[in-house]
Amino acid sequence: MNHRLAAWITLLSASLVLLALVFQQQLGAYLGLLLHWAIILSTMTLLIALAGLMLAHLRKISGQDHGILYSLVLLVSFLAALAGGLFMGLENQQYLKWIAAIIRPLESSLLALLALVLAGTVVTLFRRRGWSPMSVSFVLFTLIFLVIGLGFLQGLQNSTVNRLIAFFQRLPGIGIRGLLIGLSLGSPFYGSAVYLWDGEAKQ
Amino acid sequence: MPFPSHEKHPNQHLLSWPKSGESMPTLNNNDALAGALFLLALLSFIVCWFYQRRKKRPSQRSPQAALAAEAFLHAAAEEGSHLSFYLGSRFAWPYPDLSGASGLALYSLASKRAIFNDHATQAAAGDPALALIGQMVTQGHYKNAVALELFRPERTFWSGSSPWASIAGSLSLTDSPANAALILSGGFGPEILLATEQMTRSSLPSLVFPATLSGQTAAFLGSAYLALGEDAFQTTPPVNAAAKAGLQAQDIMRILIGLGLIAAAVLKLAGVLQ
Repeated sequence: MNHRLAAWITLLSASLVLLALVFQQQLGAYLGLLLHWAIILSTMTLLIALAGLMLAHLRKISGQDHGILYSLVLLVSFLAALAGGLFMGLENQQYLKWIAAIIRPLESSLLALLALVLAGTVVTLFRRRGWSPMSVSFVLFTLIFLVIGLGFLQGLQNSTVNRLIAFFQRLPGIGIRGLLIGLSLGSPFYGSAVYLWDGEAKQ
Repeated sequence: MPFPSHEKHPNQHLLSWPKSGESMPTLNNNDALAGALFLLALLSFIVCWFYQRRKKRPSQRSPQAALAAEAFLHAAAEEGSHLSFYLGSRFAWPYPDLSGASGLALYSLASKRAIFNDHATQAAAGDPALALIGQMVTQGHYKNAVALELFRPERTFWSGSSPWASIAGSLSLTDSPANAALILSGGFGPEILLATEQMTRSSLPSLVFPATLSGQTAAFLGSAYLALGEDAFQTTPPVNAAAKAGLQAQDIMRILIGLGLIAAAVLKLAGVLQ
């Protein structure tokens, strides 16, 4: 199928959903229908990707490739979780507790690892990026928010300090809004460039 | 979502699927302002596009990260190595975010050039739909390919069902001895630091195009090559009229929004705006 046709179908569907969102009174019922289709489609992709993943690991095991142990662990964990979900039910508190008891420590350890990596990268930031205004302001504001976050300055009960803290606490909000506007506008520009692709960049 | 997650999407309340019988959020003044900005952006893009098609001038500016990606592609082709991609974990599941698909264009370009590298381009995605679309992208090149082994769709895989699991699953990409660089493009959070750190330890470059705020902060810390702000969507150098017009329109919108914010601040100080 022509890739442009798929892109135009996507554009048309997205525009229809947007229109239905604007004219909710008139088109609300159709919007619900479309959203339910999207949910079913999204769930189907999950199932297909899951089947693909399992097949890939089964192939790895049968071909005795490198990392066969990881594939075995994955398959056994998947089958155990599937069996638990099928027999005990997804809402079963014992089942959820059992799953959370495995996932939470794993994710928490990755989070702890990330904290260490973050500390390490901040230390090496100047070596990597040099003394640019961006890197200096990054480290400076990290330190300022670290001090504010500790709460000692708030304990001084000084009105000038409190006003300064309030000023600094407003700054991230302003920056976030600016970046979000940029990202939100960058996305349609990128999409428009795809739809008006004139073939010059294909080589 | 079956399990509680540590990380919530910033627009979760707007983007989560409505439950049965639940109505959609109603539009407010902010939505109207966003709609007006979108229309203004679209208008400026169309004007710039017509201008670029007529003049055919070289682009005024080219995002550094896009140029770096192009350089990595050429270097990999010369060395006979390959590039690895992480396409992000935020696209359709559990919270829909279309900006999460921004890495597909560069991935398509790189996988098409696999014939020059003599190695298949490989990618991991933390979202099942994104992984399947990535496979379809490779399948598109595979259809009429000569060296079929370089265009295997299974080289694109779903690496995990949560952001943490997917980044942990994608770390296997960095192990390959023929790997020249890791390109992370799409929707992801600070978890990518684990991958960029591993690349730094292997003395290999990583290039990051983050479509989220937390991803941009992490990329600033973890990678020497990154695209900040809206440049995150410009993953390839602007060689055609549409891409050049996009960049030009972005610059126009930057100036307009800057002026608008200054005007709003002045009006607020003057007491006109409450």
